[in-house]
Amino acid sequence: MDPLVTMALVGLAHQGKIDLSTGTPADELLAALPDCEVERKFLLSVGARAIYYQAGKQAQQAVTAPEAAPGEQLRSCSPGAALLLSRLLSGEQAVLLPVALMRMSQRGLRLPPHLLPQALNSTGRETRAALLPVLGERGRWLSRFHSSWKWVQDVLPGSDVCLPPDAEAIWQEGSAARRAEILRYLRVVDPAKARAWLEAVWKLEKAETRGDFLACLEVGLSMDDEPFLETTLDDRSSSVRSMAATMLARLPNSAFLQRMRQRARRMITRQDGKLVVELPQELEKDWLRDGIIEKPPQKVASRSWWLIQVLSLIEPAFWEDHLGAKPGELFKLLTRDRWEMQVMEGWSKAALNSHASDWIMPLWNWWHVHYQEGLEKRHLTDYRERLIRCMPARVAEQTMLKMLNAYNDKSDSDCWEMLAEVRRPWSTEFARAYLQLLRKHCPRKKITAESFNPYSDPWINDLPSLGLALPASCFDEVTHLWELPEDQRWGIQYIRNQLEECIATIHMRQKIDEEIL
Amino acid sequence: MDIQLTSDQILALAPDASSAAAGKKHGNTRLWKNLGMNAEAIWGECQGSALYQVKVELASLTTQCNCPSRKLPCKHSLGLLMLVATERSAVPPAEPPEWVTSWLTKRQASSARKQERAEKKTSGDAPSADQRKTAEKRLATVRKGLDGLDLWLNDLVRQGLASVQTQPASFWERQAARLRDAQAPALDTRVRKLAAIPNASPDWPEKLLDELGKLALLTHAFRLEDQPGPEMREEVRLLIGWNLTQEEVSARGETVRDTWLIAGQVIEEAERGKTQRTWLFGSQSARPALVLQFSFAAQPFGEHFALGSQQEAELTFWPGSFPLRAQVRTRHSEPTPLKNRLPGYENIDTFLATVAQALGHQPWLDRFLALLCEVTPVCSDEGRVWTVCDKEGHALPLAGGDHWLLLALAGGHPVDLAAEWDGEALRPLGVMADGEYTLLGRTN
Repeated sequence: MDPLVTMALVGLAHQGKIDLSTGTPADELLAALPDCEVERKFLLSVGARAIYYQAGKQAQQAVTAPEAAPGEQLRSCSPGAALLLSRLLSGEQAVLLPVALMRMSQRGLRLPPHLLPQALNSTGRETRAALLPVLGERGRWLSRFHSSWKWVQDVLPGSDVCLPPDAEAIWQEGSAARRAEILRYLRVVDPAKARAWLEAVWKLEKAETRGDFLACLEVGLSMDDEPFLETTLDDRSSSVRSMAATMLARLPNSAFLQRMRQRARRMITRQDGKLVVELPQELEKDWLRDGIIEKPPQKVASRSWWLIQVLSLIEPAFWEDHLGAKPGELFKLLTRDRWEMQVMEGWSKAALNSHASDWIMPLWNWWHVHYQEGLEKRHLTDYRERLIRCMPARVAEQTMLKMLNAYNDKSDSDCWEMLAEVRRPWSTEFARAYLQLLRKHCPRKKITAESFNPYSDPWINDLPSLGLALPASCFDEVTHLWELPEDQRWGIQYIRNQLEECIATIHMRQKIDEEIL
Repeated sequence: MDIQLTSDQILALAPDASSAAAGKKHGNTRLWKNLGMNAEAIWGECQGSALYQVKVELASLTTQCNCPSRKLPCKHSLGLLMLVATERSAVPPAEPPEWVTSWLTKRQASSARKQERAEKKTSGDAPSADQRKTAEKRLATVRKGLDGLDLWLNDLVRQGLASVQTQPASFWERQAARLRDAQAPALDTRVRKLAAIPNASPDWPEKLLDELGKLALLTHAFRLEDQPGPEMREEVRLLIGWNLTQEEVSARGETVRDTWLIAGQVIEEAERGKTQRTWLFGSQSARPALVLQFSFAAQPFGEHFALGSQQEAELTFWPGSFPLRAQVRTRHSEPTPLKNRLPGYENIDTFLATVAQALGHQPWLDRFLALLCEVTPVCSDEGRVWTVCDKEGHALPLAGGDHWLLLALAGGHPVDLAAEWDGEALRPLGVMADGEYTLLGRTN
């Protein structure tokens, strides 16, 4: 430590000999001072020295700077779009952020640099996936410096068919996520080579990684993959086996599916115009090998569980052949016994897995009738929601409309959960019909009445999501839904807030279309 | 006159983050009617909880709204400015309605009155006997206060600084209060700040000793009477606490007309309120100016600046040996966004040499405006160490905190940086990158 500082810390009173020289030109000034106490002299000389040092402050040696960001390939968006995106990134109308980002990437635009730190801080899979194509060179460059922005590096640059030149090096040395990504890229270009790469390292990888890599084979999956997939059925890990089974089930001619069909054939047979279900008491070894999981989840019986698993793997058309009937008729042949529900669950899963379009509607009708007849919602999933998602948009809308037309105050509010699955934006026709029903169920006179409870009204509660669903052609109509009274009552306030939220969403959507060009 | 501010510059006027967010939302045509603008002002009526009349005088960015909010500018005023910046066509040229013209007339009248008052001061009659007596009395009080301070300082170094580590905050406050009673408020603030030094950093004894030494130099300079020249005397009187009123500054300070770059702003919590430092730089005079404003008890700041723009204006500097603090006398043009390269120091050494010169004139200066041309911001150690480097391989550290925005804007390329230098580190105010100036460091 500097002797003068030491002196000051200890105190001048506790010093033997006091040497005030600072070793700087400040000493000359000190010599010119009139006589005064030693403390005063001391303070003045350290003061002068402090200023002397301050004035003589020198710059540091620069550190080696990392390489600068490369030039951009994409156009920057307009200032108006940037302002809009900054609002969305700050959480205003956050559901519309992916919509706006998607539109940016469709137009070949990128985020301006000043939005990058905020954008890179985003969480959530959907947002991040939508951000990647609009980060630009600057965004990818910037992400290297911050530990929580590394997610950008786990995904590779370039379009989906462009394999980076250092692909092999990444495959040898990269993180698991990057390697999986490389594998997917290579599957597009050269499926056989990708499979060979995977086979070469197969035994060395952890079970979790093996499962992830196996899932990559879904890109460009073909019968050429069958021999390898068949060997992975002998894997130690049950999750890898079940992934192998999922892959094999997508190959209609695989030996795997033949075995499954064989099992299925014995499970359900047609006897005297009725469908009869017969299941083994014990799970056989070869079932286990084919990825059937023995232990059921909670509250499901073992044998039901095996049944559902097998059924879900087989394309529904098989049953039309085997049982000689179309789906709608088939369902009527089921006896109302302990297996009925499991068979329908298995078939629903199978129809969803293989997008069997002629099964979707009959299945939906079956579940709908049963729910209306009071089927308890003990299922985790309401299959109607998943099935409606698989319908073509027009069919889904028509189905919804039927449900909504039948709606009365005693119906449950399942409608709106299903409505969320209909593709957005809606068609003008459907949107108009919906708004008409909305006015019918919620006329101004009813909703402004004292006795009306808007909190429990599904029409009112759904107003905010209406802002996401309506097509541009109906924007005007929704802004003129009701003239609400200037009333401070909580009920009116609530309706007003709901409606405003809907309109705000619509305005934001309009802005997105106007600004991102 | 035509308003050319960008949305960022407008949002920088917001008194806090929530006002900025609300301002963005209010920049929506659907909430507005009777919008219009002319050469002096823009106006409109905004539908909030009631219908509010909002007006903005363009040159001074003075806003007025009849909403009950105490914030200035309020969200409606910010919304009106945002609307002009983002949807110009929504605000057509028009004849101002009566409620706008009457406000403008009133403002002009009051500023004329102010000018008059200031001119009266200049023509200044000799101080009355009473005034002289008060002044002499104060001088005596201050002298006594400084004697006390000197004894206290001597005592500190005699007993040893090691002892202050265990002293409570009241130890410093007692001495500060004595200086306040002795009518030396600037010294009161200086002593109060000492309390934060002990144990705050490994080299605190050195820092504290330096500050004590500078305090001693200040009282020494005060006692030198006429020796250092009239400018230095003026400076020392200011540093001790003889505050000048705005009128006195107009009367006695130097007025400089120039196109002033409004580089940026720092707002800090101060005792019982906030301090706002706005840094300007004369594009012809090449001199820095600091507009210092205080806000007590959350009152709004009086003077508004379009940060990151330039404006032709007359500034009057506080008299002294190195005039830096200034006030706006007249604004001659509307603010326009900065578009070109910043005028500034070509490398870090030149900047440090300028600082050294300034210290030669005013040794107690603690903050400088650094306009550094073509420096590259560098992030090391995952954002724990930040520097800017010039072309000659010299570097200065950036003040603690988050500089990701600066890094994103520069992208590893050289940029022009405006920053506040406190002798240790740079606190970024704004950066010119790709022909656009972005404000930094203001927490909006």
